[in-house]
Amino acid sequence: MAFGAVPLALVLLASGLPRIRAQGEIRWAGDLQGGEPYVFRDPRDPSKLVGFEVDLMVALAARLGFPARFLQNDWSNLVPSLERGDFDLIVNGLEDTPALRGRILLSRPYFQFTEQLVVRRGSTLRTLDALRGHRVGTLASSLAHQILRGRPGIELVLYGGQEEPYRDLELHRTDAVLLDSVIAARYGLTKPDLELADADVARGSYVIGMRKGDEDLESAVNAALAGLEAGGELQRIYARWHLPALPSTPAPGATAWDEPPRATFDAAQLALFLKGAGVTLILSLLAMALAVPLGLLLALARLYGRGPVRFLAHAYIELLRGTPVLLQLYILYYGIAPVVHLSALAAAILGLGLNYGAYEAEVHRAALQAVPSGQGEAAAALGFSRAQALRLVLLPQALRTALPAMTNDLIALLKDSSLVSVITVVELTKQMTITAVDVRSWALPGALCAALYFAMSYPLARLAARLEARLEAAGEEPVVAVAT
Amino acid sequence: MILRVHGLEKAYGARQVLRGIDAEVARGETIALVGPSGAGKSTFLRCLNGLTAFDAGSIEIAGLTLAPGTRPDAPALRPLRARVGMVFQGFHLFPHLTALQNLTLAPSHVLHEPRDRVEQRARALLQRVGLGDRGGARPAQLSGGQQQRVAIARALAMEPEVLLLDEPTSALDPEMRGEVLGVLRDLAGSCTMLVVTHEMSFARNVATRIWVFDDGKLVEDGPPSQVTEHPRSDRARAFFRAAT
Repeated sequence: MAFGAVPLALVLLASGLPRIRAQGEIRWAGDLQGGEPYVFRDPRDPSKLVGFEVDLMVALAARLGFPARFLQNDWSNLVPSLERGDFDLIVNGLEDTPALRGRILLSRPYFQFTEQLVVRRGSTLRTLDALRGHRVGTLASSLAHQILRGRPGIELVLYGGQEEPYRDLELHRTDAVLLDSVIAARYGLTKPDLELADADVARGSYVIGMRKGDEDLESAVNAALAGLEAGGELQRIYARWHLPALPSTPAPGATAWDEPPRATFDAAQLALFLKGAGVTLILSLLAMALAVPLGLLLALARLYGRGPVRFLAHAYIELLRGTPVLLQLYILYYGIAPVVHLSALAAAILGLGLNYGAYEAEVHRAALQAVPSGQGEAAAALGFSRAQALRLVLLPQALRTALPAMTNDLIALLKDSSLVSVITVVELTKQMTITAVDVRSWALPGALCAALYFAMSYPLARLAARLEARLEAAGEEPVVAVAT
Repeated sequence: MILRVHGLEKAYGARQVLRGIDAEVARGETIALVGPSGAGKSTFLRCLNGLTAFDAGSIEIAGLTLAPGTRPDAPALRPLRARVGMVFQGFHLFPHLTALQNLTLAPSHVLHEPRDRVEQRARALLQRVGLGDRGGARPAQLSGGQQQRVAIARALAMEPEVLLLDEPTSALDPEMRGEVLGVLRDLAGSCTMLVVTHEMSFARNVATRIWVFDDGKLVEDGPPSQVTEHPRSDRARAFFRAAT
């Protein structure tokens, strides 16, 4: 899986082929969300991955002489993940653009496509010129996105997945979708209400992305691709997957190979959901297990620390509460990667834990301040040291007060944990979006996802309510006006 | 002398609360501190165990010397606190512990006494304040009078040489005052006590001496009969006329 941490300063140091030889496998990455027909879970056996890029990698790996291993990674983050050394190759419909060429190494094309304009059946707006002043959907940071950006007057609507643009087109939220022929054929033209308006708006090619410095790998990959093309293997793979050919070339005859049926929502999907829920739960509990003691230390530093300690604790709390947790996750996973190489799961737990620690600090602080001042005086008058008074008298009372608030924060954390999908952790929400695109339905996966979150958070909410009730029953010290 | 105070002064900002107090107490005495509100009685009492830092003068108590400006959380105060007990107007029992645990906590953690000895003494003390059967109760389950009796027992569990009581019955209903005053009457003589109080009958009948405070000064110091019947100062005379 994506967070199968790569143990390895060692491997990061070596470059290209020697590194791959040392690690004993070639690691390639793609995004399973909307992965069809590139790389996706076999609906007949979700433990297996299929797709034309899987076939391509099998053939390529055989030529390179290494076994290939797939790593899941959010599509929009493939390039930064490659740069931080998570894997060796991006093989996931990566389009050849000048901007990308300046940043990473790109192989020779392994597939050529056209950008296709899809509209609602019978629409009169059938060219990009005609769409001036209308809404056109596409994938964020795709070649089509760049083409549309160069056309003033067109209102861009950007998506993160390839199914959603066509869905919105059907629903009249947009007037056209510009995407490459592979996506259009698979996700757009299969909808009865949509049709092709322009089959050849522009041309582009899919390439394999590699890290700068891996020039030896680049030549090996290029040689292998050339060999696959010359031997006709590439063409056979594309024919097997019914990939649309360029309009100028005749369509290769389809073979009798049986393509996997569209995924349906079955027991295997349910198992994936339960696994996602497990990741969410473990992630949340571990993050909270970090946040609570951290928050306690911060609260003690703020309340009882000397000048600089107090200032640092205050600064930490304000900084972590004042910036988005999403940004903190990015920094932990990508930002500090050259110095501290965290696995995705570790970065997720650490990120959420450090962030929630700031909130727990305020919960602890409020709870400590809510302990009547007479308690501290009574402890001092009995001869307790300050540390003893804290440990034996103040904290036991404060923790009781803080417990319901902490339980509420754990419920919030359970839901906030879906944010960690941006650093490639597949938790419950990410699994839901992957499945929803695979089965082309958001209703059932969405409902199941909600049900699983509820099944985890409701017992916690009940627990919080019971703790609160018990706290009230225990009563507090009577409030008495004290004269001088 | 178990307590010697000399030239004690304390100000809160511009307001002078104690204006040079001199006083002495012999072992076993019971002193009743009386006087109008704001006269400085409670502040004086809190200075004696360091809960309030004083500005000038000196305090010798239970064989230890307390210096001006000592912060209330100074580690140097810990031996003193073990010898000088305190009972507050608001009880301040630890609400998360049972009555018995309230008594045993400090002897176990401050004096490091063995657990069975501490528990045995705590049970005897609860018995002594008439709560032998309520050792397992939490403070919230006890009446105000019962809570204050537990608080007195908690202070006694440290076997202090001096017991300071800051208006121990002021937060109680009249019917509960009697039970707390009864406990104090029984204690008198066995333990040196300084009690800030508005209970004139207690001051007259139980105290060995009455101290009258007025405007930060100790204006009267003598046996109850002399102080209440023949006060030397006009202020004390006015106070007792108003109090009776």
